[in-house]
Amino acid sequence: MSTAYPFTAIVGQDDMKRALTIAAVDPGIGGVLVLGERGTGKSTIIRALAALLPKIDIVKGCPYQCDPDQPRQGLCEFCAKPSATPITTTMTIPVVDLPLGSTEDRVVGALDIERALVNGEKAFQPGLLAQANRGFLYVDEVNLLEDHIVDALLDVAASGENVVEREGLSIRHPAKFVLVGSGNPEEGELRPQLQDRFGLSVDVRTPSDVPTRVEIIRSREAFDKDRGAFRKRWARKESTLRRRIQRAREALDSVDTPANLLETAAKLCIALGTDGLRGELTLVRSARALAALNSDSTATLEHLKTIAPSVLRHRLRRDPLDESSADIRVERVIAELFNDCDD
Amino acid sequence: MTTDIPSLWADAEWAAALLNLLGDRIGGVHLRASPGPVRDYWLDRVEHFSEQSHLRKIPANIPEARLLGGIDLGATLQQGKPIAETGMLGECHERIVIAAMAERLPRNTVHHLCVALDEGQLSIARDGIDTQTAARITLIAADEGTEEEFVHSALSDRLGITVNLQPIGIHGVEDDIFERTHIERARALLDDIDLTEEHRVAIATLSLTLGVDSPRAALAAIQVACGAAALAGRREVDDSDIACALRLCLLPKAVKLPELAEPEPTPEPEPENDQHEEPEPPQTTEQMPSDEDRLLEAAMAQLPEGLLQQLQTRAAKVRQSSSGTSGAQHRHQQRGRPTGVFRGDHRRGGRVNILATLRAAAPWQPLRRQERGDPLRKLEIRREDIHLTRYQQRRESLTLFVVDASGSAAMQRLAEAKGAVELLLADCYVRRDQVALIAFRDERAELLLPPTRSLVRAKKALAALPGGGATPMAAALELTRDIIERASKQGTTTQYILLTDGAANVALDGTRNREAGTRDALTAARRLGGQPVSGLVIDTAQRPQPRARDLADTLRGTYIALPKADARTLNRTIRAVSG
Repeated sequence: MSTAYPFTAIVGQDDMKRALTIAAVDPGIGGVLVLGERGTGKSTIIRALAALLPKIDIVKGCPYQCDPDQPRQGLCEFCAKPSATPITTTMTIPVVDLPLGSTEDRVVGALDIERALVNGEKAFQPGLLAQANRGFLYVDEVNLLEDHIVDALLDVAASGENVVEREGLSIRHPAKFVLVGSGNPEEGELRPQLQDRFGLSVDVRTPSDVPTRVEIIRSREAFDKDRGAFRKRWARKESTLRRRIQRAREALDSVDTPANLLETAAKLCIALGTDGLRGELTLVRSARALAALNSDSTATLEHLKTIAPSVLRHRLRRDPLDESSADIRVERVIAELFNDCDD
Repeated sequence: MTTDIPSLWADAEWAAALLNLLGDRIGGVHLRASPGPVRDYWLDRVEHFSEQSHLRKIPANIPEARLLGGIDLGATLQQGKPIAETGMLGECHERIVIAAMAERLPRNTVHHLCVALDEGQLSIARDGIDTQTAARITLIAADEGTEEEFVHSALSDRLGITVNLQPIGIHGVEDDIFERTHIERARALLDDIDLTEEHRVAIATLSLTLGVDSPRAALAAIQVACGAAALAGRREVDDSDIACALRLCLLPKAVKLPELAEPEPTPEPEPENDQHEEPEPPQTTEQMPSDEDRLLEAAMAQLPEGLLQQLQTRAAKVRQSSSGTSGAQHRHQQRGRPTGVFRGDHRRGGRVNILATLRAAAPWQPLRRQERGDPLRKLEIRREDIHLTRYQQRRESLTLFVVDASGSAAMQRLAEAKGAVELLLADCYVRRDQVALIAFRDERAELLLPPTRSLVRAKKALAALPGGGATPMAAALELTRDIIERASKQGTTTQYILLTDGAANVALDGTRNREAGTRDALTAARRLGGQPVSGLVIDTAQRPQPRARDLADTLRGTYIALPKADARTLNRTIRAVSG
């Protein structure tokens, strides 16, 4: 495995970094969509994230990395077996690649052919969705994903479980993952249903000022020259951020959510005319996650304001031609609303 | 600095040597050349410098299973368990490999090549196999593209050096410069070479000045500058190395050319291009120290004659169409993207999916063994087990807008037409159709938007559509026919929508003459009318006249007069007619 570029060494791209760390703190936020042109470091940052994530406790031997603290609550067959007490072990939060060209059997899982033929057993061979449980599922060029794979993803992403009914198998297993998709919007649109599944979305651009570009080039050169040494130089920052994410995950449940935050979130969504409740829920959850990340005990309007563009950008009632102004609309409504609040 | 102007061939020879020296550090070479002795000789040079016995070639139509690897059929059937087979990218690990006809690579193949170039490895999750393969390749993308076709920008972005052999004739090939020993010597030097901070800043500034946004190009240019110094036997990078990097890496990717101290004898850019060109950020010109100016000028001065013009036209084209022929997917019974598996009879055609078949057969094996009383028989597959792969057979459809932007069509009508097109675009988006846009005015008809599914691009093209001037109807109809024919070769059905007042006044040869213009337009219309496509002519004249109706009849299209229609009415009507 090639050594990943350190997350903390990535120059600029603060929106993208913030969205991904928030998703690492609260996986329930519903995924991150990263849209941008070539050469903006979309895939670099996700590989970087994989190397940054903290460890989690899992049930040893469980193919779905179930949480030992919540035994038998999951749907997993392995952990539901009454026989043995689960042994706890740890692993780094998984980041699983869903490459373009994946076949459905590998994504959702299928009959284990070897065991079927050799032993005549009907056994399930878990797929990528199983590997991604409790972690991240990354789809590069998500707008080019085949429709039948997207269909499979949509259902699982919404329900958090993967139901396999094929080849005489009847399996349900937990598949809660943070879906991370990246793509270049110039190459085709995302299906609206899939776009809705993402909790946060970020637009990335290449910075166009000389000093930043020189910095990008310099650090990338240094990295390419000696990856090990470069990682070592950033190790302290990496572990600081890792601990911060870890602490925020633990503190998340105890973050206070004042009533005016809920109210403002609702007002924002009404003012922008977003469909459904998902926008509001994600706004509140993201504000809480951001508060936890900043070691604040209460989620404030300031947190909400920071995160609102990422939460709402892709949820505005779609005028498919009015893509560019989404950010401006969100910002304008935020400005209006927050001025009111100050009065 | 030397004032010698290196020849195009000398640059190509340097590129071949640098490709071998730097390998996957620069991704590879984007080779623009028609097939022929010059290209063959250049590839011979690359092969000669490398230690490879021959350069492997990836054909443009390589199936995904072969490219990535997948299941080894023979071994799998024999052993009754999935056996993996290395794909071509894995086989080419740490080698130079050629992608043939790179401008026609399917989008998925482009993606896999990009992943291999970025990561040096591939993860494969298909046909029961889930594995990682090392695939650190150096790629030569052999681009035979004509002016309409480009290597996908995602791929060309990752290839550090661009070599253009197009203008070099067989007599342009010069004596060899390097030997393999030169490269070995340079390799020993390479790690000690470092760039001064000024040179690094210079490359960053120059790439911005040239409108090359992606940092990959600048990184490659730095590598190439170091490599050039090493090849010249120096430990320090000097200005001539930067100039070399500019010529090989940055200039070919330029989307805008800076103003130089001496005005270049290039034709004035067309005014319409200026409208949507983003104004240069002021700080780049102000802050640009004279150092960069000097370097850029030096590099420009080293450019062979005529190349600048060529770059300029190319830059204009790249602006227009930045994403290649991603629509060029073949639809075929047994080709295309697999979209699922179903039970079926293989004798009726179709490709057997071994894995699904085995899966279907597996649970029954103990029973079947018993039934036969033959416990030794390993595997019994029956007809009902056979599964076939389903390929994407849905025909693509393309809606082609042909918009009259001439003066007679009047600006206000043009705005309405634009509005209608925008609304129709939204419809096409829902149906996941492709759209394309031809605009015609003054001397020529132009494909402003090649077939795409991206609304962002469609909208940009539309916004940039200027109006005014004469009406070259004949040229527009010829271009329409051309696009339709090309689309139908790729299995795409096209419907076109022509918005015009029918007043043709430019002949096919470009002369302004109402009579010749009308005559040529009718001839072109007859030819287009012979095509099996559905067309719609929308008369945008204030007072509809017979000429647009005549045109529609000749085109065998549907005619609608919409003298006062606004965008929404237009849209409703078009929808009603075209279904």
